[in-house]
Amino acid sequence: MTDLFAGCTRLLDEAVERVGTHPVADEVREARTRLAEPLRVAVAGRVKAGKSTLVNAMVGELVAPTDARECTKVVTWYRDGVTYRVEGVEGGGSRVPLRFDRRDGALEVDLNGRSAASLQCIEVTWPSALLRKMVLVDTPGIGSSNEDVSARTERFLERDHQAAPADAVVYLLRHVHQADVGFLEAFHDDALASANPLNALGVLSRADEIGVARPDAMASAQRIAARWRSDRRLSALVQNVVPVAGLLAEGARTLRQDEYDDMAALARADEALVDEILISVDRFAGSSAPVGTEPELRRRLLERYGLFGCRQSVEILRRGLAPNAQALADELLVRSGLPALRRDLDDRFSRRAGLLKARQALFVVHRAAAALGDAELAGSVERLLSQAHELSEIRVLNLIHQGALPLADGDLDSARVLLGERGLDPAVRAGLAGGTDLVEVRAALGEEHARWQARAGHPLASPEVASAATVLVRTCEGLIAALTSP
Amino acid sequence: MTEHERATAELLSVLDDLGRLAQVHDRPELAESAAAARRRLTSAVFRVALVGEFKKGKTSLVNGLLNAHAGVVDDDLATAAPMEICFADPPRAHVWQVDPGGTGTTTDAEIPPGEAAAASVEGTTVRVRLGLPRPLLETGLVLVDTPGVGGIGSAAAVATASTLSDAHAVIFVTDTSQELTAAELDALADAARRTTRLVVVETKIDLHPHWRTIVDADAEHLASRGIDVPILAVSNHLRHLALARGDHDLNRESGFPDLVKSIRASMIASARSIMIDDAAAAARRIHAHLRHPLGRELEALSEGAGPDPQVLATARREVAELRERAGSWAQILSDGMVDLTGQVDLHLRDGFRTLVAEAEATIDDADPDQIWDELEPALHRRVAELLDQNLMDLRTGATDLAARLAEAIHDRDFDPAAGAGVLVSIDESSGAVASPALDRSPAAERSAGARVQQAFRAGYGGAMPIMVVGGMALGVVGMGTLVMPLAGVAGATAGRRAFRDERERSLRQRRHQAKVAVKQYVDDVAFRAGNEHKAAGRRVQRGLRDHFGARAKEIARTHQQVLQRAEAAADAGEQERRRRIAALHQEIARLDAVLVSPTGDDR
Repeated sequence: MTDLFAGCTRLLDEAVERVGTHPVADEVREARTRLAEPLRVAVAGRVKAGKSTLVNAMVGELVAPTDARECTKVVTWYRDGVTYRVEGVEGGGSRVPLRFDRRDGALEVDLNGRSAASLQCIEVTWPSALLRKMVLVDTPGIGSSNEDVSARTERFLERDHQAAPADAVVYLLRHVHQADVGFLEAFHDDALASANPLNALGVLSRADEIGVARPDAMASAQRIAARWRSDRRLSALVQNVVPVAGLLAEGARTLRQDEYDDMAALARADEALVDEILISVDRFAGSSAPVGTEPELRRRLLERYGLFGCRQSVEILRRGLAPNAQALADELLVRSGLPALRRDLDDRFSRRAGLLKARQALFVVHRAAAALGDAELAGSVERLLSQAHELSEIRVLNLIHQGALPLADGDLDSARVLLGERGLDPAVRAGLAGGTDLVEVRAALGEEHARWQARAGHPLASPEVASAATVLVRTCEGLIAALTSP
Repeated sequence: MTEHERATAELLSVLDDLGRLAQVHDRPELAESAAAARRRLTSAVFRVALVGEFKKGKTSLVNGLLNAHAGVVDDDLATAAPMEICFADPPRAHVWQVDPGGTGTTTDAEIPPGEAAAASVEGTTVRVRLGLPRPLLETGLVLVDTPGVGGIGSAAAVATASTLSDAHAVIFVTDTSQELTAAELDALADAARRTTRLVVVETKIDLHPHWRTIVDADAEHLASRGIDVPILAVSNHLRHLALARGDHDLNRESGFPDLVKSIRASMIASARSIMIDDAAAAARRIHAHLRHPLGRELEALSEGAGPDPQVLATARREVAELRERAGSWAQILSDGMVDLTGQVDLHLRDGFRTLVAEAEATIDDADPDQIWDELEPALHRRVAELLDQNLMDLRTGATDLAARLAEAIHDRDFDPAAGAGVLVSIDESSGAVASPALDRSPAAERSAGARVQQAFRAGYGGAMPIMVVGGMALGVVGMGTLVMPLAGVAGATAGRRAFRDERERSLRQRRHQAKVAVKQYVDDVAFRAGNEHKAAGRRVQRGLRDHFGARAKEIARTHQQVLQRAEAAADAGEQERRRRIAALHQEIARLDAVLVSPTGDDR
């Protein structure tokens, strides 16, 4: 763990002792507990952006219920655990166990007569490799025609009086909508890091539908994602934008043998006939043409994979690329864009978990110190804030995003890359492709080091530039040191 | 031939006959009224705007309706400016663009029709007009494709609001990937307030397995909001495929035949109905004016009992009264317009002042560098809202004024809506012309407000380049031109560049410069909007004056004729009296025959 994280843990221990029975004590203790827990990642977005589907795809099981209509009405937490358990958290904070069932592999929770409005959230404990690394939080969509539902997400993520419940957010966009920008801005609105994309990742969701399920739909979505990545308004809000066809990913992660068999039967049937029913969902689910499968089965395939998934599966199978179910699942998964998202999550969130969690904890102590009127504690926070190099890096990033560093575009770009905006792999931060030879990486970092040293020492450099350049010099030094002594 | 086409043809011949009879009766002003009503009936244009959030398939829908590549359909590129598609043979296109140099001026030019699509996605384009030789457009239909609402950047919302304000019907486009959102429902409620001719079209039914569930859910949402509009589900993809293959089954599956039918039947037809009502009302009025003097002369000649001196006395009194209050309507008009324009102008100035004050307060609370990107679109949006509201105020005020004018020149002998006199009933549902009887048509039962609307609308007949149905003619002059000032934003952007370049300057200076930029922009818009308002006011005044002036003239002439005929009747000898009575009966029969059997001369 990093220095910052260790320092932050010590500071929290100290704060827990000093806080006594003050009303903020609970919050401080909770913040301390959170430091030891996995990173909390919220999945958010406008209504029907495909949040629950993405949660399922990431976990690899159908844990989040999905439906054609608006479905997620309560904030739902997914944590790792040794047993399967579902609990409802009521308004007052009391927990009640909820009965649940798995039908066709999908989790069904029985609220037992409770209304969704009476529950603050639902907590699902589920043994899962992914959940061991991060806690996922599925949120109701914003912009719902049901105002209660939207308000619930806003209440969940707003941070007026409490620490943010999530350390990071995966934000799902279908097309970039004005409401998305407003939401992301609100999410970043805190004292320690205003307008900081550090803890937000954008996903162009339902990517297959953007290109109306054409064979090249994902390539088209890639181009759009690339455009948004370089859009100034959006890059100030999210680190990256990756396209994901959520339904395809969910299906690929949960593909069953019988589904493979049905797809294979379609791929073997008369090509012209099958192509004709693949024109529209009504034809695919309703046609009585002899295509090797019954309409009822086709309807279920459509439900699970969407028209895009069915078209892709048939094409993969016709080309003989998937001799068995696993091969088809792998092939579909690659096309869904999920692997790229998982890499990104790893790179940008998991690796920075210490930093992301420490920021949240410092935020809580900062406010607690103010509430207590404890000058010594406040001093400790300030000290940590000013000494932690990671936080200095974030400050420089903020200045760049605000357009407050008068540097040439080339310098700005390399500063952003160096500060980890494209990923935390040292090679990537040096501006090279991932996996480049270490000697080359070291040489590139050496050049960067020299560049920023020159900027820092330039007689005409403004104070902001000089201090930012000094931070970058230290960044290079840290990276080079890490390369030499792994 | 549809019912409406037949009714239109019948009315045209009625108006022709009445025009000829008016000449015979030495009533040139009535002949002119008949000609004007005829012009309104034949030259109508009907604007249908397609609105909705961006990336819902509006342009693709337009292309599907017309079987043309009118606009660009792309996964990423979005329509940037409203595109009007009307009838033209051979095809032609015209584009209006903002000068990219930042001066804020717009230029317009004729372009090859093939380039219209590309122009519609260019950022500098303000408006595109494309003429295509398509049967659907031949009836005067104009489809207006609009930029989607909700994308980053707000210019689109402004352009769409302006399009809405002069559309006669609205097609709200959404897709079946999800239920209507809160923002969409708000937009629909707004559209429903503006027009009764509204349909919701849900696209992409080829792609979403649960499209029926979504359509049902949307119907529920609309019902719960009290918005009563039909929903049609279509697939642009299937339509294009069907057209390419010439496949009728696929075309039916695409849902387009129903959509086309709906546009023709409910939208165009209901507009036609109103136009037919308008022309029928004119025909009834002209007929009443022609017939009234004949009836009074008959009374004066008083069959059987000898001349009735009462009639002459009454006629004298009426003419004297008429002379007394002649011009009173003109006074009401000029006073009313001064009040109205003054009030509207005051509201606008007040709105702009509040806007500047709020923007300045925002700038004082933050660093302009950081908030400018939000402030700029917010400002555009607020300005657009203000202009839209103002236009509505002007419209409402003008409608009230029209009501008072109608009251001032009111003469129940000739006001068909008052239900007196000999009237023709045009049954809206059948479009048939019924025999002379008391008016029981839906038109007569419409509220006084609707009648005033009709009267007001009629005021623009012929005078306006585009005849307006249902909506108000103001729209034509309205937002379309008022939005132009937003090009002035370019000026504000230049200001922004200036203060971005000067980072080393103090925050206070940046704030000052930001305020100057805001003030400049708002001043510029206010100046242009003010001019535009004055022009709109003048147009309204001219329209009302022409309309009510013509009505007043008709009434005066009719009373004059009554007096002349009453005087002649008083002097007539017994033989002359008998001859006149017989001639009058014959003439009245001829007049009434025009309405009973409009195509009586067997053309």
